[in-house]
Amino acid sequence: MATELRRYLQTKIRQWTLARQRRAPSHTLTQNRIFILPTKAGCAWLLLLLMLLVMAINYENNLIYAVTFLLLGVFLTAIFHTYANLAGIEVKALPSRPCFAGRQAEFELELQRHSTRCFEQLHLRLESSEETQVVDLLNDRQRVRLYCPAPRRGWLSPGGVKLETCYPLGLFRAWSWLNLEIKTLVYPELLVTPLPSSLQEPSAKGCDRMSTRSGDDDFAGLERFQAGMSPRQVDWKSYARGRGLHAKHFAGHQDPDLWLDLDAMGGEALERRLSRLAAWVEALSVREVRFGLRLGSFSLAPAMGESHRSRSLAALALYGLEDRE
Amino acid sequence: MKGGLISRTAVGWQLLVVLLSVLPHMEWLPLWVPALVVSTAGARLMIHSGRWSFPHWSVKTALVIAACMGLILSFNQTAGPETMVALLVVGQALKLLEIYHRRDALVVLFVTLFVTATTFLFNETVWMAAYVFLVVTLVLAAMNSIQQSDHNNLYADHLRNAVRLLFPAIPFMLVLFFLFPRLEPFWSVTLDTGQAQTGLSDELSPGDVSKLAQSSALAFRASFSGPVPPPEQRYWRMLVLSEFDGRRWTRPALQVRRQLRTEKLYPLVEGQNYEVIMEASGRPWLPALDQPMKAEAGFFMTPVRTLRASQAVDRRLQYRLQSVPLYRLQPLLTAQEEQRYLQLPARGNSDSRELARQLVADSGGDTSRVIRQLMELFNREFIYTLEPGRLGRDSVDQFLFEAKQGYCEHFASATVFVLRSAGIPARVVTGYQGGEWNPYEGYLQVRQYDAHAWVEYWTPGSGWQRLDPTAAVAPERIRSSAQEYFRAYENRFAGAVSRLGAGWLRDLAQRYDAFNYAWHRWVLNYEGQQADLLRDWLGGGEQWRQVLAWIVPSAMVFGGLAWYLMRPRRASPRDPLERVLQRLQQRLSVLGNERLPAESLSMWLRRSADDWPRQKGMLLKLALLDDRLRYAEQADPEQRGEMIHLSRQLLRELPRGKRHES
Repeated sequence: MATELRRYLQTKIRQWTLARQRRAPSHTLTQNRIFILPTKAGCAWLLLLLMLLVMAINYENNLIYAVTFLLLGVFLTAIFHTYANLAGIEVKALPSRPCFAGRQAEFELELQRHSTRCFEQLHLRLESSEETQVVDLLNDRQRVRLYCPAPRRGWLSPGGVKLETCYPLGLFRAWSWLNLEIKTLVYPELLVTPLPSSLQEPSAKGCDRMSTRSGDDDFAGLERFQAGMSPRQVDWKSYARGRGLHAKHFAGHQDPDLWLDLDAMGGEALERRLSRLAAWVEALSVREVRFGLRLGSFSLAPAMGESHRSRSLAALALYGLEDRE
Repeated sequence: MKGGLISRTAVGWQLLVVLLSVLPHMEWLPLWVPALVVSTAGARLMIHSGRWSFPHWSVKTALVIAACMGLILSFNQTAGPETMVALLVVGQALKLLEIYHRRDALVVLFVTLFVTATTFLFNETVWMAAYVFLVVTLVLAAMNSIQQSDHNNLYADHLRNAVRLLFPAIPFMLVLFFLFPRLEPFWSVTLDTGQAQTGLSDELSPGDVSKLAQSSALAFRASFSGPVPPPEQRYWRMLVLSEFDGRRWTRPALQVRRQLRTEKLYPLVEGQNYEVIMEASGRPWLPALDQPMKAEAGFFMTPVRTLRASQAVDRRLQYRLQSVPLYRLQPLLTAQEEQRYLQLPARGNSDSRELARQLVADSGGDTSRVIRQLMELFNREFIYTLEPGRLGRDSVDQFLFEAKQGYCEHFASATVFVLRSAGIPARVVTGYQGGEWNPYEGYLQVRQYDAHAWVEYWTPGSGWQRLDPTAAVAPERIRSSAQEYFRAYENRFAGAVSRLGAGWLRDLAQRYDAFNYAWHRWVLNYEGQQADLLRDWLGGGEQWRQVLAWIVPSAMVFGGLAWYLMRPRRASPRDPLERVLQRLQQRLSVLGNERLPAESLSMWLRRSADDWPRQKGMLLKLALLDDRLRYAEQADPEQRGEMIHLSRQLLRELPRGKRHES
């Protein structure tokens, strides 16, 4: 009952504070944002004081009165210390790295202090995660990585960031919710299937050569044979004529790149197809093979390299979701 | 919040504070309890160092059962504060074996705080207060240590944090201590501290008072608002004994006492006001300067005008009184009353009775002449001593005709016997006489060796009058304190009296006692002064003034604390060069040339130089000089001065505000 009530109140406070803030890449913790309430230990402390007070009154013992008041003073002092352990910290969102769905998304924050005070035992947590990170801010800047599960592809916003501390006595909990502008791109979940008969069998489904559709017959001319060309392309006739080794150049072979095409992947569910494509993009990128990507009306020209990979994966991640973002 | 596991340093703190909190209770706890604490702490230490593992649950259960049995046996099922404290200490000891989490540690520390506070039920000295303050500080350090991460395991750090938390709480405590109203107890409690109290009992047989004279324990202290009465008037009445059985003097039986009418007092001069702080005596009778005018609320005036409290004085007690030194007491006695004060055993002490008859015959029936003759006899032939030897059956006869030496109770007892035999109503009064003046705090300290017995006799019209036969034997005893008298009387009465030493040691003892007195008056018994004090300080006792008196200092304390904690703090380097470079850095960062964390000073200066065409030369030179200062094999000391000069010039030339793009 009590825990339910507490949870309900916490949720309300969180929603209320997050709604009051504008989304910004960095926030400084000020009194508008910091909440502070006694912990269970703090309530027990008050109970202890009450017992001491009763003892002081009953035994008419002035020294026990003094201890009671001293501990009450400590209790009040702890409010300030706990509050000061959060106040003034600037939290900045750093650019985040994309991740694959089903894994943990990583968000990097930078905590910055503007005085030489030490901020100790800060617990950081994302709204959509239960996991906390404990940080001691002893230098001017410190980076923290927070993780939260990324269940689906698309843009992932982990909600607010919570900073919490019970330092130095554990009698009070000060916390703050920050509406930080953090989001990360979640790529489709990787569904590893063998590359469609890989590069040797380019005519497998979904992995298409231009030539299969434009035909082998489109003879476009001859070019000098170079190592690595298929022997089938050799123009044996002209070789026999003593003109040297030439390869027949067909129109289909002008662009020898792979095309990954969503529509050519059969009737599987869209997400499965996207996942499979994502796995292929990964595999091809590792092998450093040029490939192009075609998703319905959207297409990426064949290329290779890191930026091509991330553009392809981003396209897969956002396919069909753009209008929602 | 179960919290994480606690660090090893935190366990160390726990053990320390538990042991320190139990230490002052050692003197009264049954021996097995401290033994249990020490052994569980030792076991925890073994676990802590990895030599033992945590005990099995069956071991813990067995320990709990054994401890409960022990408590029941030791405390005999009485429910007093001792039992409560012992129970808490045992709980603390057992819990030590299973501290894993923050929550466990907090439970132990809270109990420790409570146990520490209960120390004051048994000992209220300044030293104990200082000790408890120290333990509270350490408990706070322990609480801080369980909040710390593992890598911060410096005991000194935790202690410093505790002091920082405690420091602002002290003024707050003082304000609350002086303003907080002292409430009446919710339910009555008795506290047996187990210490035997010394003091006068309600009967007097030979040797009773001289036994007290061996004790230098404090009986009470008194401070006067007006002039202090001279030593020969410092008679503190406590009990009036009128019944004699041949050896012992006692009060009348309870049913008789109930029927007595209160004696009438007619003051002849102004009364004098004074305040008494009485030590615990375990008995209800209170000393009052001869003669108290009326009892303060909460105390009773007995028919024979002595004071008593409603119950035995088990703790230090403070009260105010008004007494009058010159008075007429009960000028008229009924025949029945007169008979009571002439009552003597039917037989025994026949020589003394004969002496009385002779005295009456010699003086022609004049009361004052009878008394004068008796006193002269004492003065001539008797010796005042603490060691009068044993007196057998007819004790009065033995004293008057054989021993001829005694302490005050012998003289008082014999005098009353003789006076009654002579037909003069008389009674024995016990209490204290004298007291030592403490010049540092301005009060009288009366110790047990000042215990005294004297006589009151009655004459028609004048009523009861004080007569001190001791004054006839040893007048110096009355004028000085018993201590001084016996000091002058050689070191025959070693022990209690000489324990206070002489010279500077005595001076020191007096200063210490003055300090203790202030402690008692202003801390332990701070209660009654509150109203007056507040009225003086605050200019009135209204509610709003009190609230203000509480809020204003508290607001100052916590406002100061908030400022102290939140004040902008930039490390300001000592080195003038570093300082001026830091200022330059701040100025340029405002202007848009922030130094990146990974950038060296010279790199940053060079990068900034491009944005400031006019100052470019200076910036580049500064960068060069900095490089040279840091990396050249032999740095030129003048170079630092040049750098400072350059930086200052840059600070002058660079705009103060943000740069406006033109």
